[in-house]
This record gives sequence, C-alpha cells and structure tokens, in this order.
Amino acid sequence: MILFRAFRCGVFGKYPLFYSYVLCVLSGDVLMYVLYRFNPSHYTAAYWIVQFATLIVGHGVILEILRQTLAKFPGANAFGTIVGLAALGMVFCIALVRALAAPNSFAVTTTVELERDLRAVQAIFLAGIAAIISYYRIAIGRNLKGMLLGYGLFIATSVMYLAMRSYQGSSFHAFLSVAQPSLYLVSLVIWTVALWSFYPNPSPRVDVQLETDYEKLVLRTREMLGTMRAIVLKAVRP
Amino acid sequence: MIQLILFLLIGAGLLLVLFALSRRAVPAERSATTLLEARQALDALQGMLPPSGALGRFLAEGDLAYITSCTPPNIQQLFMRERRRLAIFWAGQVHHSVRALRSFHLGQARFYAKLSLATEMELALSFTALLLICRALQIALYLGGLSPARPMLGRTARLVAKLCVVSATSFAFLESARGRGPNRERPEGNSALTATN
Repeated sequence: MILFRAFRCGVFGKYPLFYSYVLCVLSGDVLMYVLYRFNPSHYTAAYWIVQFATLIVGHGVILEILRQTLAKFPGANAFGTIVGLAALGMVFCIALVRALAAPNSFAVTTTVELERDLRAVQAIFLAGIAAIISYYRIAIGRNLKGMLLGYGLFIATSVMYLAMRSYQGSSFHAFLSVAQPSLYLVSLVIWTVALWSFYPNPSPRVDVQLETDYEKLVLRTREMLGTMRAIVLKAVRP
Repeated sequence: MIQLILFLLIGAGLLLVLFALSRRAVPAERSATTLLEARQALDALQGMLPPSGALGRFLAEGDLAYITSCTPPNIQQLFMRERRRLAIFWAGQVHHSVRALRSFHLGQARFYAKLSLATEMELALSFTALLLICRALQIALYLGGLSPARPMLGRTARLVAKLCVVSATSFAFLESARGRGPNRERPEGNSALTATN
C-alpha cells in the first residue's frame, strides 16, 4: 500500500532512500516466504542475511530523515552529520570486532547480539537527530514526522526485544514471534497514514549568514546571559 | 543484566524522545532575516529583564521593620504574603527571560553554516544552570520565604556559576583548535560571562 501510494502520488522520487528500504523489506519478505514454502532448509541462513541487508538499507532511512529535515539548517545539519558519522563508524567497528572475535558468525546467539548492537547504534543516531530537531525547534512536515516516528518505534522496540532475547535465550521466542510483527505493523500503519500524500517540509525564510554574524550572535547571547546571571546572583547572595 | 538494562534504556530513551517530538507544537518560523532584525530582537529581549536591584528593593529590611513596628498583625501578614508573591513573580520573570533568550539564540543559531559545537554546548550548559537556579529560587521562596533559603541558594548559585566557568574552560581547547583555521576572527572578550562569576 505504501509503495502503491508512492508511485501513484509521485512521491517515490522525493524520498528515494526511504522507499528503497520499503521495497527492500517487501522483496525480502517475498523471498523468505518462497524459501519457507519450497526450500525450508535454507530459511534460517537466508533469514539473517535478509535481516542484515534490511538493517543496512534501513540506515538509508535515517540518512533520508537527516537530509530532508536539516538540509536547510546548516548549523543543525553539521551536528547531525557528526552524530551520523559517529554512528556509522560504530556500526563498522562493531561489525569488524564481531567478525574477528567470532569465527562462527552465523551462530544464532551471536547474530542476535550483533543485530541488537547495530540496532542500538541506529537508535542512538535517530535519538540524536530527534533531539537536534527538538532542541533547535525545527519544523518538520507530516511525511518526515511519520517516517521518523514509524522507524523510531520500530528501532526502539527492536533494541528492547533483541536485548530481552539475547538475555533470556530462545524461551523468549514465543513472545517475540507475536510482538515483533505486531509492532512492525504499527510502524507500517504510521507510514501509510503519514505518507498517504506528499506534504512538503516547511521551508525556513532565512538565508544562511556569514560566520562572523554567528560570532556576533554568540557574543550578544553571552552578554545577556551574563547580565541575567548577575541579576540572579545578586538576588540570592546572602 | 547490566547489558540488558543498558539496551532497554537506549530503547526507552528513543521512545521518550520520539514521544516528546510528537507532542511538541510546531514552532512558527522566525521572520528575522537580517542581522539588524536579530539585534532589534535581542534589544527587545533585554527590555524584558527585570531591573537588577528589584528583588532587593521588594524585600528591603527597612520596609519590613517599619511594617512590623507600627501595623496590626493582619497587615503584617498581608505584607509578608504580598512580598513573597512579588518575589516569586520576579523569579518567574527572570526564568521567562532566560527561556526567551535561549529560544531566540537557538532560532537564529541553527541557520549559521559554521556553528561551533563547543560554544553551543557551553551556552546550553549556562542556560540550563541559570534556569535551574531560577527554579530553585522560586521553590525556596514558595516553601519558606527568601531569608532562610538565601545562604543555601547563594552557595548553590556560586557552585553552578563555578561549574559554568570550568565547563567553558574545558571547551576552550576545542575553540582554540578551530581558531587555528584560516580567516578566523575571535570576538573581543567574554567579559560579561566572566565578570559575573
């Protein structure tokens, strides 16, 4: 439905990374269904490969959110890029360390832990972007808000149940098999509603200023902060 | 177990941030397009500040001594009550001014291409510290009046102010590293920040 609406409304090109992720998830699900029906012996190995492929492509959703929301705010975008690069670096470091430390990297326990770690890194990255958007009071459109909330919900719940699964072992699997698809369904509903039509992101009406202007702004802010602090300290001084 | 708690906290933290984001009202875009307008806005903010000696004048010992010496108890009670209300209102005004300044700064700063991470962190810390002091002042005034809370508040305020200076010094190395780049002009002084501490 999400892809159908995207093609029908011509939104696919507006958010290419996000829709590539949705397409990747759909293709993966179809592939897994076919394998499950006709070649169940390869299902488990294929499951983790598809899972990691969608996880990597899922990083594109975060980059899409970063690109679309902060592109017109160079200052906030710089912060977001730092957070993003740090998260990406962490992804590679974790993957490298895991690969070197665990020769049998497709053992289920190790794979669950690896996915949990990578999802946690995505969660930190996404939380960083959301915090920057909140802190700098950046207005975001309905499409991007839905994208952020839907993917954020999926990532947050993934981190939590993967952590539980890793701690409890396979006894937690029965709960997981119900909770995971249900929560993903909620994310899909959020995306369907938010991306039903194209809502452009609100554009700021301010041109990018020179660096010296920023320094003047900081100087004035510091001066006023100093004045305010002096007033308060004078009031409370015994 | 610690690992489990850590990951649960990461997940819960993200959910919390998203919840806060979904609940916030979409801010109106600022129309200040030039530095001149930014200056005017800052000047307007400066006008919102209560006078520096206002609280001291509201709570002057002389006035209290006069009222307690020559008025009946019900007038004294009314005087004390109104004085406290005035002081709480004053602290609220300062709190409001600090928030307005922070809002203004963030609204402007997000557009600058070369935003300094160190400066922004230092300012965020200073804003938070000042807001906390104002809130503590309001709570202390509400609970017990200014006189018993004053020494405690004075110590807290000085401690927070010291913390701000220490933090600013900690971030200074980042600033100097940035400053080695070409065409970097540092503004003259940070006098207001240091003079008050």
